[in-house]
Amino acid sequence: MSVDHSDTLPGGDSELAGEYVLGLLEGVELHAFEAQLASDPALQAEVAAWAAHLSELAADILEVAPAPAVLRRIEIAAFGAAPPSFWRQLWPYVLGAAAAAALAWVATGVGLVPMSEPVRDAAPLTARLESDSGGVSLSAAFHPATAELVAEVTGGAPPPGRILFLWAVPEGGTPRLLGQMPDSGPFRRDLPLDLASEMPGAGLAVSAEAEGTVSPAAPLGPIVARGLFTQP
Amino acid sequence: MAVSEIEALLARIAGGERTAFRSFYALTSARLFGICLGVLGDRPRAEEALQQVYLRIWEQADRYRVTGQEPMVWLVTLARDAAIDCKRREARRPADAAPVNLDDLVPDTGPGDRTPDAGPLRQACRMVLPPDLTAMLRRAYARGESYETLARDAGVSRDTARQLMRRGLKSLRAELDR
Repeated sequence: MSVDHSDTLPGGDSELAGEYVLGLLEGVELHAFEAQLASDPALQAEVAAWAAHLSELAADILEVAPAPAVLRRIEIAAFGAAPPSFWRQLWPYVLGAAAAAALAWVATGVGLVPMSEPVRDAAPLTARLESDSGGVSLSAAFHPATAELVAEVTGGAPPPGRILFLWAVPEGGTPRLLGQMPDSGPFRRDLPLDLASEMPGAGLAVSAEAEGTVSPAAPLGPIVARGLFTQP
Repeated sequence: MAVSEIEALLARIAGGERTAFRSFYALTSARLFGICLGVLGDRPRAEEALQQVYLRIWEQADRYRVTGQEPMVWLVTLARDAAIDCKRREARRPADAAPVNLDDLVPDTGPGDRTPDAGPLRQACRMVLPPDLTAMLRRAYARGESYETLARDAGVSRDTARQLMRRGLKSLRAELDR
C-alpha cells in the first residue's frame, strides 16, 4: 500500500482508514485515500473493520423521531425518482400493446368518447385504459388540433375511499399528473404545448389515491388502469 | 430490532415493495435521524440528510450485502456519511434554524458509562486510551467534528490533535486485534 500521507505522523494505512471512517480526512489527502481505496481490497477491508468497530459508538446517540412530514417527502422523492417501479407496472402493458396494436387496439375507442369538439385537420388519438384485474376501464381521446384531452370512465368504479387520478406517461419520460377524474361525466383538459407534443405514443394511467395524499411527482396509490394512445 | 427483520425488509425493499419501505422507516428512522442530528445540529439539515439516506436505501437496498456488513453497521455508516457530506457542503452557509442542544443528544460521558454490556470497542478504549482521547474519538464520531474543532476545544494545535488521534487509533486497532 502506498497512500501518500505526512511522514511526520506515526502509523500507516490502518490509522488512515480509521480517520477516513471518522470523517477526519480532508482535501488532497481525502481524495488520495479514496483513489487508493477504490482499487485496494485490503484497505477496503480495513475501512469496513473500522466502520463496524466504531459503529458501537452510535449506540450512545439518542434516538430522535423525525417529523411526520419527512416520510412523505422521502416517499415522493423515492417513488417519483424511481421510474422503474412505475414502469414495472406499465411495462407488461406496453409490450402487450405492441403485439395487439394491429388487432383490437386500433381506433376502437372512437365513438366511446363524446366528440362534441370540432375536429379540424388531424384525427384524434384514442386510447382505451384497462386493468389486468378488471378494476376500472376508461376511454380517452386527444385532439391534436385543439390540444384537448378527454377521458371518461366506461366501466368499474374506484376502490372504496379512493379517488382516481389521470396521468400522462410520455414515452421514456416520467409520469405527469393531468388531474382528478370527476365523479361523473368526462374529464377534459387542454394540455400545455410541451405535453401535447408528446402525446403520440404516450401512455395514460389511472391511479387510485387515498384522499389528501396525491403528489404531482408520481402516483403513490396503485395503478388501476392503463393504456397507450394509438393513431387512427 | 432484530437483524433478521431488518434483512428481510431490505430484501423486500430491493423488490420495490413500498409497504416494506414504510415499515423499515418506522423501525429505523429515529435511530438514523438521531445520528444525522448529532452531526448537523439542526433539524432542517438533519432532515435533508435523512432524506438522502432513505433515498439511497430505496435505490440500493440490494447492494448492502455486497459490503459484507451487518445491516445496522451499513445503515449507521450511510447516515453518518450523508450527514458529514452535508456538513462539509454547507460549512460556509450559516444555519438559519435554531440549533438543537447537542449535549442533550450526545452525552459527553466515556464509552460504557451508559451501557452495561460494553462491546469490544468500549473495552479497548478503556484499556488503551486516556479518557480525554476517548472523549475526542466519540465527538469525532458522533458529531462529525473536524480536527480543527477538536484541536480548538482541546486547546492544542491541529497537528497535535491529529498525532494524538492517530496514536490512539493505532493502539485501539492493536487492542481490538488481540
